[in-house]
Amino acid sequence: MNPAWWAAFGPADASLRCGDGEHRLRWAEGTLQARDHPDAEGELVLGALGGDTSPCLDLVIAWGKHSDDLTVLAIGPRSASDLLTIPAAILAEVTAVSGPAGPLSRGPGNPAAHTVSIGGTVSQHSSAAFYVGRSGRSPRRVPRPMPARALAWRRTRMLRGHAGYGLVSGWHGHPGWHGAEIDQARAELIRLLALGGPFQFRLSAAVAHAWSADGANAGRPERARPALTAALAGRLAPAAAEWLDVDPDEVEVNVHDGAGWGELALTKPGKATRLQARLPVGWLASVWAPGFAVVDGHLVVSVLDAAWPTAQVLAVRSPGQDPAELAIRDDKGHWSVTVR
Amino acid sequence: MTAASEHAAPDRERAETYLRLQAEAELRRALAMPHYKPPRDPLPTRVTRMFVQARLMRRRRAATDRIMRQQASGRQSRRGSQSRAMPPMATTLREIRRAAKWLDGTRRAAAVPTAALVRSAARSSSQLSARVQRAARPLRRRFRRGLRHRGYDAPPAEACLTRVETLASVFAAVGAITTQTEEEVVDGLRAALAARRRIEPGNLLSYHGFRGHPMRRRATATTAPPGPPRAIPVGAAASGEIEGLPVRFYLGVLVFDHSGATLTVRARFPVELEEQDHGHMDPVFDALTAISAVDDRGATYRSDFSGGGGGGEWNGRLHLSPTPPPGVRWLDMTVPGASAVRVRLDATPRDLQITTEPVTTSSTERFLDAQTIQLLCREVTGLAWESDDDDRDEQPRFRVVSHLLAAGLLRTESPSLRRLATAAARLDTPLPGPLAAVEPSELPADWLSLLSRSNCTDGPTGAIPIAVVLPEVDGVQCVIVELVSDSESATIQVHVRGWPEPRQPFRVPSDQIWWSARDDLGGGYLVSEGGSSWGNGEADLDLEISPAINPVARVLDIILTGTTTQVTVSVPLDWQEGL
Repeated sequence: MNPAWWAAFGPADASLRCGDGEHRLRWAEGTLQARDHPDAEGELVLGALGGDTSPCLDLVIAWGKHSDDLTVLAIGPRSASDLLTIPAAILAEVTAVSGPAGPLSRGPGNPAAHTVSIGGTVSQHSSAAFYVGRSGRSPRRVPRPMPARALAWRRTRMLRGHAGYGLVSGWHGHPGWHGAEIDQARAELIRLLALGGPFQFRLSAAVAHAWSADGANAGRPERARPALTAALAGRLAPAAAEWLDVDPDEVEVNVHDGAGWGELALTKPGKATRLQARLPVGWLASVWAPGFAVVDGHLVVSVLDAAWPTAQVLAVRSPGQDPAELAIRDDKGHWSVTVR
Repeated sequence: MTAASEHAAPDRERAETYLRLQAEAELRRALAMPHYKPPRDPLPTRVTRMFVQARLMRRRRAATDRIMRQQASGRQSRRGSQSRAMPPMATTLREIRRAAKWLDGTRRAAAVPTAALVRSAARSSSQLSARVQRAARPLRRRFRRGLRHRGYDAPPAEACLTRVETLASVFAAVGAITTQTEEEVVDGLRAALAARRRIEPGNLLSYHGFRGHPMRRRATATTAPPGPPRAIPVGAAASGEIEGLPVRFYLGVLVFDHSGATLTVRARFPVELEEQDHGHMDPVFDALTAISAVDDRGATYRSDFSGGGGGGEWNGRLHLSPTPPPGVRWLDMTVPGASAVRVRLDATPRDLQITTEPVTTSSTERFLDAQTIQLLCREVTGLAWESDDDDRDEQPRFRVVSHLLAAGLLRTESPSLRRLATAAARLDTPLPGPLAAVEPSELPADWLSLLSRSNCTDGPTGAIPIAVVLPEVDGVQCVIVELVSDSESATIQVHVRGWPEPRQPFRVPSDQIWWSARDDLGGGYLVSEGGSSWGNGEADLDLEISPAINPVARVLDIILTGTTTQVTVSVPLDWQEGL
């Protein structure tokens, strides 16, 4: 039996300002929890009845909503070195529109302050769980929410820049035109991505799992096949470049639907070497997202068993060879082979 | 990277996969580029500019104060000085008037030959300039790249986004993907680039209401009025007067649609009238805007003019307000300096032959043929692809064709691809990559005739109020309003309901509905959009026909080709005055 898709992930923590205090969000075993809201369910009911929900719960709800959103795979990271940066001004803008706790006028409790304060810095705590911000210390200087006038000025500036661009290079699909409203779903997604790298990978894994053979959307993969193929290709290409030193543009990927882990083959149709791969979508969730796509010169193709920080995997030394079983271990974010 | 979808999938899936893989490849390319930092002037420049602006403002304020003071003191002393100044001023004014009258006479005498001379010189100059520009383009481009731009510099990664946008729009245009997929893919890449600081961070946001620029909005789904639009031929000319100078007006066709009633109008006048502007408003424009109407029941209507002109002619449309209600029999249009022109609302359009047939070629083939004709027309008209902008040279279209081939939407033995190869060979333009191996074939006869008449300036002069409502094509209802021709070109005025709004107007054109024309002698014509206005899901288009219509031709077939249906209307070329 396959291990749970989240079994190779360690927990990840983030802190955010919620109400008058500093609250913690924890991702563990595939779910995001607001640790300082023990009666989350009750709060949600109150929220549904017209009361305010908290920034923590807004994020938890948003996480659930985006756990099968293919946009996450389109925007999200492609490799460990691929860092996404959400600028503070954008975050303030989306916070103003996303979630019932959104309006900027809410002051210190607004989640923009939180996400700005963490600023995407991620450190690995001694307990090996990911922490965002600095655990046990006072939070860094928190920028004040951007007032409406400043936001308006910023929009104007954006428009000027875009209008100028329009004149130079042609019309472009660009945001910020009068009368347009920020898309709520995108605003939520930006706030989730702003939680930092560890959360970005975990959210990507959740989406990939949802569309994998064991996921909730397993019954309707046809609609998503092109997006999933591109998601696989976009993530396997840098891993294959690291593994075999092939040109990422020469990596050809198909979604593997059948039994087994898939297949890998190296061809040389012309001067360039081409890697032809067939992998299941679940590979993204269980192998790529935890960060062990390539371990000590092996491409990991499947997970046999996992209990973070260790995992038993099937890995291929070179294309065309049969995969071998390896034991690997996470040591401060770096996976290495412990038993061959 | 290639899309090797072996899954038994329709072309759409393969095309979408290919497009998404291209987006991934472009993202990788962009990741190799540095982070984008919006350009900012250095500190000394900013400080200097601040001081210079402050000084400029002080000067302006001082000048304004001085003028105000002078005016105030002038008003106080005017009464006393007026009686003494009058006698010499009156003499001077008389002399000035006499001189002005003499000058005016001379100018009138010289106006017509001068205008013809200027037009001819302008034409020669424009042709020469086009030739020089074409020759100097590579050099200028190289030189320009070496210079540091001032002001807004597009992030380098925008080029990656542009390539995917172009490809996506073409794929959508040929029906290989849906417009929703097109938007998803482009929006995803845009946000991915913004999140990695490769383009403006504001691109991370997505807006609804409409996505992006208003030019890319979908036509708004307004409730269409029952029945098709209605077109009433008018075809009336009248001689009027503006500022004492004779003006000839021509009222073409009245069109009723959801957005109201629109009457096509043209005015021809002596060139010197354009020089008499008042407060920077053209007197002819003022006069056209002042046209009003009264109906048989005594109700009055005002009109707003939209259009343009110059060189002694204005063309456009009068938008009547309010819309004449049903039951009105006629409108008397009050044209400046002329007696009322009666527009009968019960006039019936001519009975023209309209042929509807299914489209047998694929969207991709039609797209490719349109590209090839455009390419050929670079030689014919000198209009297309004359810009220095990198996006407008031939490479994007060849690149797009290569992608169509790679995505399986086109095969190397495709007849249209072979025609493209022929056109490229004819223009001595090498085809890149896999296209280089394509075997050329013969060009169709009407394309060749188009080339043979490229420099003709013997087109008939006149107008034909066509006023025909075409059967619906792909959800688009067109009214061919009028055909206007002169010695060098011709224009078809069209009113449409449900016309798709322009997509990426500065890149490879990727319309889903194409216009073309052919005369009864087998001559083909290029029909391209010259001007347009949009609103409420309706549009008015000015379609330019080139080359000039063959003066011997007796019938012109105007052809509208959609994805499934092609409609041809045969218009007998019996020209009216039309100015």
